[in-house]
Amino acid sequence: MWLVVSRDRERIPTPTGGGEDALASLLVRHRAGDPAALNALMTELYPSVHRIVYRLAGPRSRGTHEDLVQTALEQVCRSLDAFEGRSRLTTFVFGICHRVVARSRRYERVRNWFKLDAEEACTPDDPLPQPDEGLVQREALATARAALARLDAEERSAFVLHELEELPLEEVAVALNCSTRTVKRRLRSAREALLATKGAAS
Amino acid sequence: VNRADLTNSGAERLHGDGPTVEALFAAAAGRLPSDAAEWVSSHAQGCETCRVALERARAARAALAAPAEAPFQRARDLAAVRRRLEARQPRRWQRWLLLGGGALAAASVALFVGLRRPGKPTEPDFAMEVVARAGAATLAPAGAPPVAASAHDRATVGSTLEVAAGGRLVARWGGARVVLDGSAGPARLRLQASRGSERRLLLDEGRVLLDVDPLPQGTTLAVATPRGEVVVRGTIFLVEHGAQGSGAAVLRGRVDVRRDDRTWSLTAGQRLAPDQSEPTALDDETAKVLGAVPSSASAGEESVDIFADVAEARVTVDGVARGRQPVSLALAAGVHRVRVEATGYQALEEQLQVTPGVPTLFRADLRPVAVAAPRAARRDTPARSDEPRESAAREPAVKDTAPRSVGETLTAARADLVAGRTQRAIDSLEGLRRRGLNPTERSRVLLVLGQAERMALRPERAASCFHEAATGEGPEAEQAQVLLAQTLGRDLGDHRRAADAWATAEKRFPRGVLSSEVAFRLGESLLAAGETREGIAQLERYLATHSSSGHVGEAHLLVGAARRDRLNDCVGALPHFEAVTGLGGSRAEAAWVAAARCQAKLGRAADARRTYQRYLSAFPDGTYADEARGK
Repeated sequence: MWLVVSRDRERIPTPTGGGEDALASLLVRHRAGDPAALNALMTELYPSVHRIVYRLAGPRSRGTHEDLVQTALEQVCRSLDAFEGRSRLTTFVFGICHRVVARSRRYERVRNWFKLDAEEACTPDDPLPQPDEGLVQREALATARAALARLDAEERSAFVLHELEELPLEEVAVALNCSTRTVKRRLRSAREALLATKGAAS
Repeated sequence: VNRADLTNSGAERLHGDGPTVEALFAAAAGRLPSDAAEWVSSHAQGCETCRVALERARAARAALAAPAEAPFQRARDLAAVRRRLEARQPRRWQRWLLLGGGALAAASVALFVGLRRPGKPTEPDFAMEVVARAGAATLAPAGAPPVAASAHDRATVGSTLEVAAGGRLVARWGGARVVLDGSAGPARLRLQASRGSERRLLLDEGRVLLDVDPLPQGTTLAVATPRGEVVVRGTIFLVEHGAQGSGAAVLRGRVDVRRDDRTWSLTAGQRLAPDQSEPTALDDETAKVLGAVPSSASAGEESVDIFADVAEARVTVDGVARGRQPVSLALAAGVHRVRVEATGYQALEEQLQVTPGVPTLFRADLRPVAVAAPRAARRDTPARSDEPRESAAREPAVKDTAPRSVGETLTAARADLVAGRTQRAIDSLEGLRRRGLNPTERSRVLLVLGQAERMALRPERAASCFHEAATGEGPEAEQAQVLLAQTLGRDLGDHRRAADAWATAEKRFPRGVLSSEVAFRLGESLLAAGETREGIAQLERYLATHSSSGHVGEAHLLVGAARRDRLNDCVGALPHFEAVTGLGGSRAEAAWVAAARCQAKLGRAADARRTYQRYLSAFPDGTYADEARGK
């Protein structure tokens, strides 16, 4: 089966190159009461959280993105004691990022519905600056962004964690707190939507 | 992996013998072994379905590429998380109580307010933001007199932008760059619609150039003139209108032109001149004008304010004259050459590093030609060979360790910063700092060192440098005090200390170049720090003394919202909302509704009805039109 190949893919290295071991040792130091360990752990996890929150939430205003990153990191720090080591620490972190982003989407929907704050509703934030885009690819990127925006939070998370963060299906299932079969279904649905092949795929 | 794996019959695929969808995504990610990748690639070359699918898979990955961290973002985020962690968390039962109360309140609101509103989705307006200006240009919000336009001014729906002959104004408008070009004569345009689904400009006179990103399906962007209209999907083009009529020219993409009941479709390289009835090839002059649309104005630029101590000083950036100081620009990230000159003074030319997220102040202290010679021969120049021997012998250590003058070392440090050698620059500046410097030199070194520390993402150290530089006198101290306040507020998110720093700036430099900005930022920081009454008092002082400055509308809304939401003082909030209603645009729209709600809350139902009616007459299709009609 082709899926075997995807299980054997290489891990994305963490910024310091220490990977999971470095994170695990920092966690041990934190639990032992080392006051500097939490700071080091936050610094170590920050790039991953910054990246994954962007990928899950999509382009937002700078303020919203910062708030999501800070909330996710805060939740990670508060939940460290609950980490039982049944998955990798990064998988645990990705799961928290997913829940923070999904919750923010729900709040946004509710807020848009009520629209109680006149000023806020009238002055939308500037979008985040996008990475440099060649003129030729702009249209394709715009289409892809529109397709990604149409995915629901669960499908998008499954796609991002498996395709971009290269987590095996089992770890995606742990992060999203669902079964592997559900992950597969969400992945299939996300891929169909992104290729615009709904109904065409056999 | 063989072909059977790639076309596994159990997995979904696009057609009978093609690769599986998963294999296409793996190929887009470069995860396939070389032989499998080769097969997918060669198959896609001969199969249109799979080629398109492969491109879409690649585009989806590209669309998820996360942007680089903004400067100081990491330090700011981590500091904020630490503060959050230190704050007391409500107990679990308290959280449930809060949630229950919130749910109850939400249900009540839904019953009494939400259900009375039709569920028609509303689409907010967004503003056109001025990026740069050259020559005379004005911005007139709807119903308000024109004021000089400067970088970061926001033109809302109903606003008019105008440039005089020879002037030029560059603006960002969603995913489009707009250049109001006065090179062929005065130009004036009005912003008629600025929503996600519809953007529309009315060009009354002159010429406007646009560079438009591809628009999503169902959205339109049009430029109208009194005689016609140009509708566009994604392209670079210009529209002109004068005594001879309206015309258009296209550098890239395609536009549909309607003029006097006739329609043309102009493609890249074509021009429909005002006095002609058929398109012709784009002439060199028009192509050159179109080629000047700044492609990088959409992202990665930052504000740069250039001041000089000589009122008549002229500013040139990258060889382009930007007029007399003070000049407010938004420049693309990177290195720019700034030149400031004035008659009777030595011209000053320096390289300036512009970093996104770090607003830059450039202050030029020009030296009169007459006194330049003695100052140039200061002690910090290298000793000449014909100097007395004992002088050379007395300072050998200084000569060996610091062979360059302070100015040269500063220039070298700036060059290091530009080249990304931040630590090297910091080391050389620290070395310079330890030398015997006069107070002015010391302040200049500290200013550059502070900026370098900001670039090294060490805002606390930067703040310390600015703090020390601010203890001096003169323009360096003023600049340092402002940078200190910015660093505390923007980089560290410490609004209380930032407010203190802004207060010091206001007290020490009451007639400084930035006194208006300082007064506003002080009020804003006080409110952000939770000092509601002090913040309101400060902003009301600002409004009384700087009634024509750029933050007036923002200040009124801040005061109105603070009075209404934090002090429950609708009586005090009302005049502030009413003051903004005359300014037009989305802020005015918000202010009308806020004023009506305040009146309703105060029991002045008749006044509230009248305000809603006036709102409806100004914004018949406004965001709150349904609410207003319901009242």
